[in-house]
Amino acid sequence: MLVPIQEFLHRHRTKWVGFAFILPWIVAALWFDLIPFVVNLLLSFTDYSVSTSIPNWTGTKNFNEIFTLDPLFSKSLGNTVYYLALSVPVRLVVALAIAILLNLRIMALGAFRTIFYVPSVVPLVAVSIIFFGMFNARYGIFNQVLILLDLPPVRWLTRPEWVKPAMVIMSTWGFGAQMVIFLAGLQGIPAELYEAAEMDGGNYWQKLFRITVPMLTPVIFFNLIIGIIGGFQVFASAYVLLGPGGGALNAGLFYVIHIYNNAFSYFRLGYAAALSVVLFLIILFFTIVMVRTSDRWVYYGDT
Amino acid sequence: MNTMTRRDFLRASGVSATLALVACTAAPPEPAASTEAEPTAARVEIEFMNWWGSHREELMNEVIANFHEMNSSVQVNNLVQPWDGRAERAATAVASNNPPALIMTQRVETYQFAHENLILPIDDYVQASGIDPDALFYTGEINNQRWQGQLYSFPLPTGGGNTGQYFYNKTVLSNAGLDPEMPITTWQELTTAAQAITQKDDIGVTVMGASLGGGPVGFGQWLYTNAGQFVSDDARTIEFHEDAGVQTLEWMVNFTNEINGGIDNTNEFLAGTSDTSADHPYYNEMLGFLFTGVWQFGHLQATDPDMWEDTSTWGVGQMPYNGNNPDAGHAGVAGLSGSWGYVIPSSTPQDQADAAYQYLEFFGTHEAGGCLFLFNQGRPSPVAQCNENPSYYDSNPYWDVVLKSLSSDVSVAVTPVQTRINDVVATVVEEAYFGVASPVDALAKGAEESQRILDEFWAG
Amino acid sequence: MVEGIASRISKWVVAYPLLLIASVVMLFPLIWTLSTSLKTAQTVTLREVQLIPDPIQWSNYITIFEEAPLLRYTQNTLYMVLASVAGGVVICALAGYAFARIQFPARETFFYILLSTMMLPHVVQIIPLFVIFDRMGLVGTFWPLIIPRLLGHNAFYIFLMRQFFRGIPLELSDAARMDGCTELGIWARIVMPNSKPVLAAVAIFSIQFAWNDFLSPLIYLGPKQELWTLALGLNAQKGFEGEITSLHKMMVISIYMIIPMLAVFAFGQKYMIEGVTFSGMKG
Repeated sequence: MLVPIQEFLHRHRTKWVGFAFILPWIVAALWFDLIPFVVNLLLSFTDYSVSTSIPNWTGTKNFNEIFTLDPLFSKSLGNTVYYLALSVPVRLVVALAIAILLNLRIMALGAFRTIFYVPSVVPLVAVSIIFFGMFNARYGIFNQVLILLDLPPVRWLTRPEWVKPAMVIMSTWGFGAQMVIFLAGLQGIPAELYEAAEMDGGNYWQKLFRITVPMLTPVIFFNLIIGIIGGFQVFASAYVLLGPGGGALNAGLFYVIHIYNNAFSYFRLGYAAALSVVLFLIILFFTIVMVRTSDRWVYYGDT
Repeated sequence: MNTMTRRDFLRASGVSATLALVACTAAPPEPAASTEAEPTAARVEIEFMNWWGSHREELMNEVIANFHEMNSSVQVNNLVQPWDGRAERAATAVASNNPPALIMTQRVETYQFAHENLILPIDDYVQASGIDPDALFYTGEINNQRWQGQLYSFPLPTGGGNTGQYFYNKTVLSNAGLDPEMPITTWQELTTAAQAITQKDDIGVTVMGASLGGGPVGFGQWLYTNAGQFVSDDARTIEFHEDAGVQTLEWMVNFTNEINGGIDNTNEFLAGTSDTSADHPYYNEMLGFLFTGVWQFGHLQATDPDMWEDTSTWGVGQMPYNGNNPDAGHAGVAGLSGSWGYVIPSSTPQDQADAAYQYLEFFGTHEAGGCLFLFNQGRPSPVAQCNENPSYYDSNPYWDVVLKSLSSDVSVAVTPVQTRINDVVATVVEEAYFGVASPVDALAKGAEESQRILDEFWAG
Repeated sequence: MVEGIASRISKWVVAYPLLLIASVVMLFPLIWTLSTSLKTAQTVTLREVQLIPDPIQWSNYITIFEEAPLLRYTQNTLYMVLASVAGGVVICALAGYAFARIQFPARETFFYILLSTMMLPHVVQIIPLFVIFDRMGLVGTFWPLIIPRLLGHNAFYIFLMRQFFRGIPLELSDAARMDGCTELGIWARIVMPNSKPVLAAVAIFSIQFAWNDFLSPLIYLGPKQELWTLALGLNAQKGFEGEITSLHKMMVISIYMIIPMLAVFAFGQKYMIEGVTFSGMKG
C-alpha cells in the first residue's frame, strides 16, 4: 500500500513541492484573509453593529442602500477613481525617471538615493503636519514658488477642486518605495545588451527605450498593479490630511474613508462590509483586466 | 491655573459641605488597621482605559492616587491610549472577552454601546450608594449620560461650555477703533465689529474679525442663539431646517461672503494651525473673536503666558444672539458632539465592575477627583458645587462669564445615530457656504435625509 | 569604461542640477522636522516656517528619555522588525519562487488569490481579526503581530519577488537541476544569491513597515503599556482630542525614528545596486 503512494509522490514530486513552498503562506491566507473575508461577506447581508449577539439577516438591504440611497457612495468612488487616474501614472513616471537618473555613474550616488528615500521614512503623523504647512496659501512653499513665477496662488486644501491635486502631490512625494523597486529592477538588465547596442551605434535615448524600459516591464507591471490596488484603498494619508469629512465639499472623501466612517464612526459594520465587498469586486475586475492584458507588453526572461 | 495640590484645593473649597454630600459611600468601610501591612488578597485590580494624554496623564495619576488613599480595596491602572485610532481601539475593547473595566467614550458612543447592550447601566450602583446625581450635576450634563431612562456614566468634563462663550482679542479691537471694554452681545454687533476689523490683501485675509465656523457644532451654536432647535426633545423630529435654522444659515453665509470674502478665504486663514500653536492668529493680534470652548483658558495659559497674564489684551463674553429675534438669548449647545463619559463593558467580571463603579463615582463626583482634575486644567466641572470653589475666581479673571455660559447651555436630545446626522448637517452647511445650494434648499434636503435616518432608527 | 565628453557635459549640466534641486524638495521635511525638534513649547509653530530655532534647545533630545521609555519602545519594535524580515526574505521568497518557477496544480488560481488578498480594505478586517486573537487569549501579547509576519503573510513581497525571480535565466536553474539539485537547492544556491537587489528591497521594506506600523500595535499592544512600540509612543505625544501641544517632542521622537531607517537604507542600497552574476549568461 505504501509503495504505490511513495512512487506516486516521487513521480509527481515537482508537482507537490510547489505547495510545500507556499504552505506557510496558505496557512496565513486561510487564517488572516479567508476567515475575515467570509465573515465580511456574511456580515454584508446583516445589520451588524459592534454587538456580541447574532446580527439580523437583512438580505440585500445594504446593497440596495449603496446603489439607491447613499449619495456618498458615488461621490467617494468618483473621488477615488479621479485620484487614482492621476496619481498612479504620475508617481510611476517620476519614480522611474529618478531611478534611471540614480543609476547613472555619478558622484555621491548613495547619498542622493538616500535623500530621495527620506520622505518614505518620515512618520505619517509628522508628514501630515508638514504638508499642512507646505500647502498653506500664505506661508506654504508651493504658493511661494507660484508667486515667484508670477502665477496666482492656489487654495490647496480649502477649494474643492484643488483637494485631489494636493493629494496627488503628497503621494508623488513619497515615491521612494517604487524608486527602490525600479532600482533593484535596473540591476537585472544584463550589461551585454547595452554593449551590443553601443556597437550598433545606439545613442542614450535609443538604449533607454529599446533596452531599459522593455527589460523593466515586469517591474513596471508590478508597480502598476500595486499602485491601482493601493490607490483604490487610499486612506491613511488622506485621513490625516483632510480628516474624516474629506476636506471641502467632500472632495477628498475617498472610498475607504467612507467605509471607515460607517464602520467606526457610525458602527454600521454590516453596511461597511457591504461597501467593502463592492470595492473588492471593482478592484478585482481591474486587476484581472491588467493581468490578462499584461502578456502583450510585459517581457519576462523565461518566455 | 498653576497646578494645585489636593490640599490647597480642598482648603480653598471649604470642603466639608460638598464632601459630605458626595462622600465615597459606595466604597466598603475601611477597617482601621488595614492600610499598608494588611495582605491585599481582596484587592481588585482594574484597567481604566482613557485618552487623557500628554500633560493630563499626570493629573489623572494624581486623582487615582487620591482615590487609592481613600479606598485600599481597589487598584486602578491608568491606561492612557494614543489618540489616533481611538474609535477602533474603543470598539475592539468593548468587543473583547476580557475588556478594561472602565472605558472612556463620547456621548454618542455611550448610546451606541448601550443600545447594543454592550455596557452596564449604573442606576443600581447609584441607588445603593445613596447619591443623588440630579442634585449633584447640572441637569443637562447628567442627562447627557442617560439613554432611554438609564444612566450609564457620570459626565466629565462638561459637555457644555463648548459654545456658550467667546474669547476676544482686545488689541485687535482697539486697532480697529472699537471699544475693547465693550464686548458684543448680538449678531448685529458682531457683524459691525467684524466689518471694522477684517482686512484683506491679494492672497487672502490678513486680519479677521471672526470665523463663524462650520459643521454641526458651528451651525448648532448659532442656531441655539437664534432660539432654534436641532431636533425635538423626544429626538424623533428634525427641526434644524425650520425658519430659525434657515435664518441662521443665511446669516452665516452672508456674513462669511460679505465680510471674509467667502468660505475658502475664511478656512485658509485658519488652515494648518490650531489654538494650541503659537502661530494661531488669535495670539498674534490677527483675529478679533474666537468662538471656542472653556478649554481655551488652559490653551491660552500654555501657549501665550504673557497674554494670559495681561487681561487688558483679552476678554471673554457670552455667546452673541440674534438681536432681531425677540425669543433669542445667550445660549450654548451641550452634548451634540463630544460629551465624555466612562462606561463599564457588560462582559466585565462582577468584582471588577463593582470596583470600576467605585472609581467612577469618586472620579465623577468627588472634590479630589474630577473637580481637582478639571480645576488644574482651568475648566469648569459638571458638578455645579465644585465650580463655586473660590480658587477658580482667583485663578480665572472671567470666571463669572464661565458660570453664566454654563447656565445658558442647552442639552440637545441625541440618539445612537446622531453621528450620521451630524455628518449630513456638515455637508448641508458646506453646500450653503460654497453656494452649491441655497441655505433653504440645503437644509430641506439635509433634513429629509436626517429624518430618514432617524425614522429608520426608531422603527428598527 | 571611458566616458564620452558629451555624456560628461550632460551630467554636469542636466543631471547634477536636477538632482540638487530635487534633493532640496525631498530634504525639506527632514530639515523642518529637525528644526522643530529643537524648539521650545513657546516657539514651536505649525505653519509659519522658521527653520533656525531661537533659542536652540538641544536638551529636548535628553529630556525625551525621561518622559517616554524610548529604549523599551525600541526593543519592542525590534521584535516585530525581526519577525518581519525573517518572514519577508525567507518565507515570502520561497513562495515567490514557487509562483515564478515551479509548476503546480492551480498555480494561476493561487496567484489570483494571492493578489486578491490585497483587495479587501483593512478597516473591515480589524474587528474579525481582533475577535479571533481575543478568543485565543493573545491580545496584549506580541503574537498577533508576529505570527502573520513569520508566516510570510504579505502578498506584496511575494508578488514582488515572483516578478524578479522570473527574470533569472532558465539556463541557470536547468543546469543546476541536471546536476541533481532539488528545488530547494536551486532556490538556495541559484535564485537567492542572484537576487540580492530584490532581497535588499524587501528587507528594507519589511524593516521600515514594521518600524512605522501603528494601527495593529495599537489594537493588540495598546492594553499593555510595557509592550508599546515607537509608533505608539510617538502618537502618545498627541494630547486630548488629538491636540498638538508639544510638537517639538513629537519631532524629537520622529527624528529618533527616522535616523535608524535612513541608516538601514544607506546600508541596504549597496546590495541593491550590486552587479548580478548571471548577467553573462544571456543575451
